Amino acid sequence: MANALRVDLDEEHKGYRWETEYERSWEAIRENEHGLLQPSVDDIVNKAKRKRIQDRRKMRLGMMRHLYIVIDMSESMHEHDYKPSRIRCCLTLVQNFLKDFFDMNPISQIGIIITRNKRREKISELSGNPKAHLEALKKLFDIECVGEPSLQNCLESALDTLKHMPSHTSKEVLVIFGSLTTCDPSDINQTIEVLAARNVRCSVIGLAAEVRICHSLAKQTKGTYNVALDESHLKDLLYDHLNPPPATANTESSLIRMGFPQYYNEDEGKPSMCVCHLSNNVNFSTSGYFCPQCNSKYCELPVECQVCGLTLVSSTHLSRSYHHLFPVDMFTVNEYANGVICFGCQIETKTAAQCEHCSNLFCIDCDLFIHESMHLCPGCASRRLQ
Amino acid sequence: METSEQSTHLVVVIDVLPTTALLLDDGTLYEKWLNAIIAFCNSHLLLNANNKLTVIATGCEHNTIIYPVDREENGNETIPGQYPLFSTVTRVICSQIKQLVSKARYSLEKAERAEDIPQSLMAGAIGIGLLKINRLKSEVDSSRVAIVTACNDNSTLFNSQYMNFMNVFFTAQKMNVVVDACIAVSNNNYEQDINLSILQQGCDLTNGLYLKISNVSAFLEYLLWTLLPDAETRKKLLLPTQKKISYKAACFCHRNLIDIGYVCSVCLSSELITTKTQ
Repeated sequence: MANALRVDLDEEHKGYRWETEYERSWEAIRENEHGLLQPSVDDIVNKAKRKRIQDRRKMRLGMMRHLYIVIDMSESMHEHDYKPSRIRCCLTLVQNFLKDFFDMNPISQIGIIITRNKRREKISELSGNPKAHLEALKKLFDIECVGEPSLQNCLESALDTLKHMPSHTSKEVLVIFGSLTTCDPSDINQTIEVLAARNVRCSVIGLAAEVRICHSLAKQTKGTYNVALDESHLKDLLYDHLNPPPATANTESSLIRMGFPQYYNEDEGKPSMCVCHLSNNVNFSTSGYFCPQCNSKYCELPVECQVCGLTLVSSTHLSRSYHHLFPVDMFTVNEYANGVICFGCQIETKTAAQCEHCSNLFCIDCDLFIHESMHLCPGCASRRLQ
Repeated sequence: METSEQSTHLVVVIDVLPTTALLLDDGTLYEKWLNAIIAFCNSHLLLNANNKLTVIATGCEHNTIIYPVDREENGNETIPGQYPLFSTVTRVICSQIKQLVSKARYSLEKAERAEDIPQSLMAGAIGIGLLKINRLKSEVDSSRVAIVTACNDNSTLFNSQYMNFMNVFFTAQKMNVVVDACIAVSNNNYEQDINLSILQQGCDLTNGLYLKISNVSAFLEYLLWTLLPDAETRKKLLLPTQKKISYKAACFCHRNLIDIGYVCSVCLSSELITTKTQ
């Protein structure tokens, strides 16, 4: 098996960390004038964050995403190097990831696949409803992790669905892999080639150590491969996938038909049952969203109409993604020896970031908050445009 | 049962827009309105010693944080028998608002037609408020934003700031910050405006309260009863019901509200094309 996994080393691969020169990484951390180390560490973290924001600009994004999350549930997920255990840590993070994912990518769809005992199980089909996925995930907490994983089986299964998706969507697979081995029925390299040809972007987050096949999978399909150091790093790596990836060159753009349903408050409409809760605990009420095409009722948006297949969204779902399209320009960071007052939170700071448009100064915390969460410069918004 | 009180950080955004109907009316109404806001701010500080307060004034030229201020001018004259913090709050807000309003009046006189009068930069003010909330979030248990305005709130107002508003409201929603709005409308132009305004959408998104009040004399009562209690207490109160609103999308080509449209897969909705306008 090991021979089958061997892939030619590519030239630009700069080798492993342990093969390179001895790094004195602790020397980057210096005490400040009060003898504290934390500010220096924060500084490094902030710089990394700023760099990440900077890298993300000026790209056409694949806004409509079809993502399969593959969770390794092999024996190796029992390890306790992540607290409380790899699998628990992982499932909790994926739960939170799902909630935020639909917040940031309103018209995207997710499916979940697990792998254990040399086979794969599809836990939930590709859909845009977070509730179904969360319920499916909850059940996974009781499933035991056994045997070896099979990467190829998972990829094939994801590919089976993704290859039928229209070409304007961004097709992605995200693998969370704890094992160092994979047990595959045939040559996985062929599967990887098909994935690359079909434009499916596969990213892998490793939990143990770097695995050669994961690396080449990510590389060939233009995904990312990272190995998490600890719980918080795993969270960061996972949350990097919240943002839509840049669209590949052969992604088409097209128009998608969508409905914007009307909401009726209590006592406004006629009493009826909603389509989403027909099977269990029937919801009989007068309020709800009504599909503009077939008039079936739903409790929540976004949803795909079960009767006529129309995607139902609210206009706020669409405006939620506008900030990807109109990002705030980067601020320039300068040192001010005399200290300046932050325009936002009014604290005094020596290192301040300046907005190029309104020339207001912000402290580093506010700067990051503006670029990561708010996507609006309050200085520019507090100024009249002539 | 909760044993300790929950501390709250309240950001009050006061709109000092020159078109404020109250300002153009007689002076006493405006004074009443302002007094109510100050009393509201003081009551918030009274509820819990750890409560934080930020007051931001929003005008058509710029936004100013009027409380807290770093430099205290003309000493600390306190009214005997009054908690010094309250007199500070009262004095600071009064003097700052006075300055801002006189500036605003100047620009009002400059504007010749009513349409020239610009709108206040409220989205920016809420943005500053959120930065402030983000800074103080470790010190308090919850944070809220209260918008008090007396503008003639209709569906077209703030349209030019739509994106800014949506950004701040989504941020507030993500931070679990409740945004309330209390709008004083003068009696004569209190009309049943069924169009939803942007503020109403914001309050709906963040589970806040949206109030329209025509009786300014009762303004303080409204503020104390509805906007003062925190989200936890509100569950136990019988508050004015908030109608859930349906957000219709407008097509980019004609600005018509549509039921079914086509959305571009790359930019989402920038290319909404109407098929059937029902």
